Amino acid sequence: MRKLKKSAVWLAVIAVCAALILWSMQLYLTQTGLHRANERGLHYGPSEEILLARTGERGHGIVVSKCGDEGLSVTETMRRFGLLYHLDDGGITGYLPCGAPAAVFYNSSCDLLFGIVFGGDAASVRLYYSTDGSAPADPPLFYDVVPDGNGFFFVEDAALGLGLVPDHAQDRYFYWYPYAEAFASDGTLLFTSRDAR
Amino acid sequence: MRFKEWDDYIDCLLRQVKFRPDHDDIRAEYEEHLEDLYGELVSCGVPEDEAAKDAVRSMGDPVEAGKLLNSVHNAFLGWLERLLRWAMALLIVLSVIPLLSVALAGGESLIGMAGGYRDTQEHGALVYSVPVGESVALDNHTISFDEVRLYEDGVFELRYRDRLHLFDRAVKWSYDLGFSEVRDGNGNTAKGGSGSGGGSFLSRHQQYFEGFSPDIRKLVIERRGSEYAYKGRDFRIEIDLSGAKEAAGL
Repeated sequence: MRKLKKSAVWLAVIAVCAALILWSMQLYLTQTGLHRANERGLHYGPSEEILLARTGERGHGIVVSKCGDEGLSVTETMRRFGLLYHLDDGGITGYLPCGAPAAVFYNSSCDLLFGIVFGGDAASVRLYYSTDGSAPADPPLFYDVVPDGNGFFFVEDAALGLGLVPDHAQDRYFYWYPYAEAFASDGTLLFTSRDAR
Repeated sequence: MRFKEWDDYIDCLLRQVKFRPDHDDIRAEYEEHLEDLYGELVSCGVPEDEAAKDAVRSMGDPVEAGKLLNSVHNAFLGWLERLLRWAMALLIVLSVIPLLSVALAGGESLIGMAGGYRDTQEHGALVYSVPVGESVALDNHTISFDEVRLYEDGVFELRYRDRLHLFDRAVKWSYDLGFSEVRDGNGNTAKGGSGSGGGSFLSRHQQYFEGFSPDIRKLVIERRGSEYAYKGRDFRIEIDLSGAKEAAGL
């Protein structure tokens, strides 16, 4: 009984210490928990629906949710101590105003291409890389994407040595594609941002 | 004091107790019992050799006693208690550095706040000062508006404090009131610069703005949520400045 009582006391002390560590180091038990806490810290949201939560190489991760009618909420996360999450240093975090009709992003940490089309479900996207935003470089990259039925889509393992953004191939980066086109499953063009050049 | 009979007895008893980490404690306890009995017997006139043997005999069957002890010194509970004790020690050590950094940040905040707002001569003499005393809660922040000041060159100063809620689980970002949120009674927006002091948990801000008439009767601090940012977090504070000049004897 003495050992049982001692065990209970140690367990209580462990719980208090663990809570203090989580609190003082701003660590979270889940990626989505961190995402919600981050939205609150930045005074927006809560966003309506978590669309995607991924952890990529070296513990870098990303959570994407839909926020409002024209935006996405993104938190880049970093895994700590194997099972906890912290805000990633230098990551893109916060509200991404997408604007109608669509936006496409690439996150190198998780090798993830994702985006949203307002008013349609994309089955494939065509991307044009631009070094300075003035003109897209050819040839374009073509991807079949996974749509969620509400306009959001993503592609995992997107780069796979194709060099989606060649200039930054060695860095961690978050890239917004200024020139992109999305197509429905029947091949109909849902949107093109090439006209906006 | 040790006798071979005692060691044999205790060794036999300990063979029944599976949780080995407790063996030393049990041995010490039994040796103490045996010594007490031995002492009593010797003091009653029993020869020392006899007393050592009698003490062992009076302790009973070592196998039975050992089995009883084994049930008390449960191996599972024993290891559980040890494991938890080690885990606790590790966590205590691990929590020292982050807690120290929080304590330092808290200390820095308190030291920074202790000095109060910094008075400035940059804008000439103080024309008037109006206490505000209003607070708004914004997620994990409480913003307390303390004072509005007007200086000789027509520059207004808004003094406010930001207190970060210590135990709120929201990610800790700093807060700065934007200039677009400060208007005069006619809807004109402020422009200017600001300064702040303090630390991560407590900070004080002094926002200077110009472009307002020195005769304005009202100052409005308003934050309206947009489609996403600050949505549902609107606040509006109206500060009555009428009578401030008169109160200052102007």
